[in-house]
Amino acid sequence: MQEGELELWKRSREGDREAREELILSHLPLVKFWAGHIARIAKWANRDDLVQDGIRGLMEAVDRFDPYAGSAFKAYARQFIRGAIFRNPELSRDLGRHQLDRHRNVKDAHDHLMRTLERAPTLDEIAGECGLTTKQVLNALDAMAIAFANELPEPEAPGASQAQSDARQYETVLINEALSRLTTKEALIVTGYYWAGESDAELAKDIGSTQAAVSRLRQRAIIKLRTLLDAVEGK
Amino acid sequence: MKLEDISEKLRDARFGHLTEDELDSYRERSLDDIGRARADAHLKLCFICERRLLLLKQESAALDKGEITAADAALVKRVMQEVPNRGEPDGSRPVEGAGRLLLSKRLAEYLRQVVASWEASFSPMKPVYRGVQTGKEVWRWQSEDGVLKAWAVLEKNADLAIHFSSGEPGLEGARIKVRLGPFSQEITLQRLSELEVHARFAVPKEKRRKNLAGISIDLV
Repeated sequence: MQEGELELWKRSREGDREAREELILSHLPLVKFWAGHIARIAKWANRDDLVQDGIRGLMEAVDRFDPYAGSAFKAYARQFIRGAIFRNPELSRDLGRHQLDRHRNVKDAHDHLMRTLERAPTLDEIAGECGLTTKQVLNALDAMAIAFANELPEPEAPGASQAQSDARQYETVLINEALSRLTTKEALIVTGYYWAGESDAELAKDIGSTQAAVSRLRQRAIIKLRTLLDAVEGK
Repeated sequence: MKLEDISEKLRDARFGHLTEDELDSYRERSLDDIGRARADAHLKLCFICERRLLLLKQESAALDKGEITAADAALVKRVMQEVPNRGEPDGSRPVEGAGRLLLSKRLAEYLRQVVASWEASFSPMKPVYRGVQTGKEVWRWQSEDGVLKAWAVLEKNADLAIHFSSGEPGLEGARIKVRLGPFSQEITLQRLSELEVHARFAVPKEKRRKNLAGISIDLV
């Protein structure tokens, strides 16, 4: 954060109304972007109303943001802006349960195809899997991209899919942490092999080594990872 | 765990959707090598995250060319007048309603990451404090967005303390239950200064186990 901006935040936190207003105004394009995007999907909603709701969210974000915490205001404010827009009664009233169910179905179909095909599924494939038109699928995906960054709102009784999603998220964090304990070369080989789909021969070329050495390093890294992950599981 | 299971877990890690923080960092090229490799691998597979990334790029472009008109300024002034209670930023106002729910959700996610980092760091085979001088930090973690930090210190009296600290005032009052081995304690994030809320979980020397694996941290 630049010095001038930090000074503005400091003044705003001390109760300077002009500084606060300047901060809100300078981030208004963020509100207009999200309100405009949501209004394009929720065609029944009034864009101007959504902008006003978004400004309220932005004001809340400005009041709560800690400029010394080291995080970016844009990412912080985005949550408040979208949250305020989605609390708009006109928007939430018409965003019925059946639409949420449809979004969840599309996400489940997408995730199932991604795992089965091991590539990004096409719109047609997702549509075929969940029995919708491609336009309906696209609308659902766009709504998800905006409102539910990682997850869909829970049904009244939290289902197994949320628990599975939490478990997957936890597993991913765990794997990332464990990989960070490897040497740089080991991590490069493991991520190249398992994530980028490179062969030992290709990796050997990348790091200027032999195929046999890469294969050995990979085996060693996997054993290290096993030790780390076994420890987590208490074995 | 079998070696094939590890391979399976690694392959599976490609399928986990990226968080918005990860997508932001990916777009800004600030992910570390491992994070970037996973993001690249996932984006090749995931239509949803690809569209989410596109949206963030569009957001960035909109901000770059965003113009503020006189009508915008008038609108902001009007909304500010309509919401008088939000006009006194003193950093100490408690977070309410939906804001608190949102924060709780984020805190729960941070705590999951704290647990994962802790468990990946401490193997039952290696007592962490062997050879460590008292008063020394033995572990540290920070959320990607810098909102929550946690660290562990083997204190001078040989207690093991885990500290949680945040610059987010809305987390003040959040209660957390920490269990390490057989010892558990409920702690509350309390205001330490104008810019920090903090909580400390301490395991007395006599209740410490040799290994530090087996931790759970939950929001109360």
